[in-house]
Amino acid sequence: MLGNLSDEQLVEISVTENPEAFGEIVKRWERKIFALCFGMLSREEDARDAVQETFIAAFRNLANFRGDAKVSSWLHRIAVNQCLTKHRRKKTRAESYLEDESETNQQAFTAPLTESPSHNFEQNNKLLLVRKAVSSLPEDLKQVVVMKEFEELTFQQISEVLELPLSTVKSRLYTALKQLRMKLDNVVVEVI
Amino acid sequence: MFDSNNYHKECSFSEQIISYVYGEMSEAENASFTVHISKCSDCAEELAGFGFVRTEILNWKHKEFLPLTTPIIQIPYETVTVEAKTSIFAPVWELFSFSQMWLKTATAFAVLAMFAGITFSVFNTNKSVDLAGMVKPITSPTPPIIVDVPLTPIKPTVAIETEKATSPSIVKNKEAEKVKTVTTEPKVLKATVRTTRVKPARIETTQRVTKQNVTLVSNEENIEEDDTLRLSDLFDEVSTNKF
Repeated sequence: MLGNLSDEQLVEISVTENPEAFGEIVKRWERKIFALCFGMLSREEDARDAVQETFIAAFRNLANFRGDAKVSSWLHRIAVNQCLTKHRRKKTRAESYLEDESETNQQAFTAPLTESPSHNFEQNNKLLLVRKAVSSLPEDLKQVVVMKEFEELTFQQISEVLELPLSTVKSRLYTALKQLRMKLDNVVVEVI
Repeated sequence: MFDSNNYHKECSFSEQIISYVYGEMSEAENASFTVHISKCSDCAEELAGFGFVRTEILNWKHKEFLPLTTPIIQIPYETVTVEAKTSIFAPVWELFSFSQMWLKTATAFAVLAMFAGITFSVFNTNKSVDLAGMVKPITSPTPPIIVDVPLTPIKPTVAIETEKATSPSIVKNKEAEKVKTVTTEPKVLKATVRTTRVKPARIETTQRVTKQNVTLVSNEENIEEDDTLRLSDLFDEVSTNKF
């Protein structure tokens, strides 16, 4: 029954009648929000925490949802804020990316044996470089890339979520791809 | 639209390239841009570069994100409550939202009148407090100090005191001028009364001293008058001649 209702209707029911109707919203958006958080934070644990915190924050502030924007946009905005907060905390705690690198190396050893070890190492190294390149982007550019590539949102949806003009979204994505290309090109040259 | 190779360098072409890369172009735009790419090496090169970046990102996504299971989100419905940020005046607005226009206006006037009354009363109480504060030093229990000054020696000092109060630069020893200052003393008295409420002692002394001065001056005048002839003196002279 709840599955047929729109997000906005579900929010209203959650506030007035049945708080557990919010569970339907969670079910609909958890994967996308997880993708966003994963792309923004580049770490599975951080992404899982951020998703959990996003939905709890959304539920807590459910009554303040004005209905000006879509529920999905509202959820995305909360998720982006959660990711930015986590990122800032991470910076202040001075957690180095060496931790990530060690995890990646561990994953390389646990990779299936069907592929040659040298191939696996190369692949994982490449992934690490891509991940580093994306996470080194400025936050405003990173958001757009992640929303486009991980969540597969349209330009229009991104502009709604971030409350930006369509042209700004496109120009940000253009700049982000250009920067990523430069970074990855340099890496490829170094590896060769 | 895309017929020149230099067009790409001179103009901002980012939006078209991005829309083409992600397949978010209208059919007409798509067709014309395809024609442009076949002629523009810069655009073609940039497009290839973006394609490479996208492939790498998608590869990362497929390898690391897609195998991950979606986290199980647990909302603690019992402990987490939905917090509504409502104004403290919300119940009042709600109450009046159903009432008629005249009632709203009347209530508004009543509220305004009430506020005006409160403000007025508060202002008045503040004023009375100030008055009480002003009265206090006058009713202070310290008695005025009355100094009994001997007549002759005090004369010059009194003159100096009064001159200090009026104009400290003018200090002269002539008798006539002292008399002048004595005559101007009521003005000085006024000034001291206004400014020094707390020091009634000084007022008393000045008052007392001025009286003495006045009497003193009159004595001097009497001395001068004594030089003139009097009837009693004549009688005295006659009596002495007789004897």
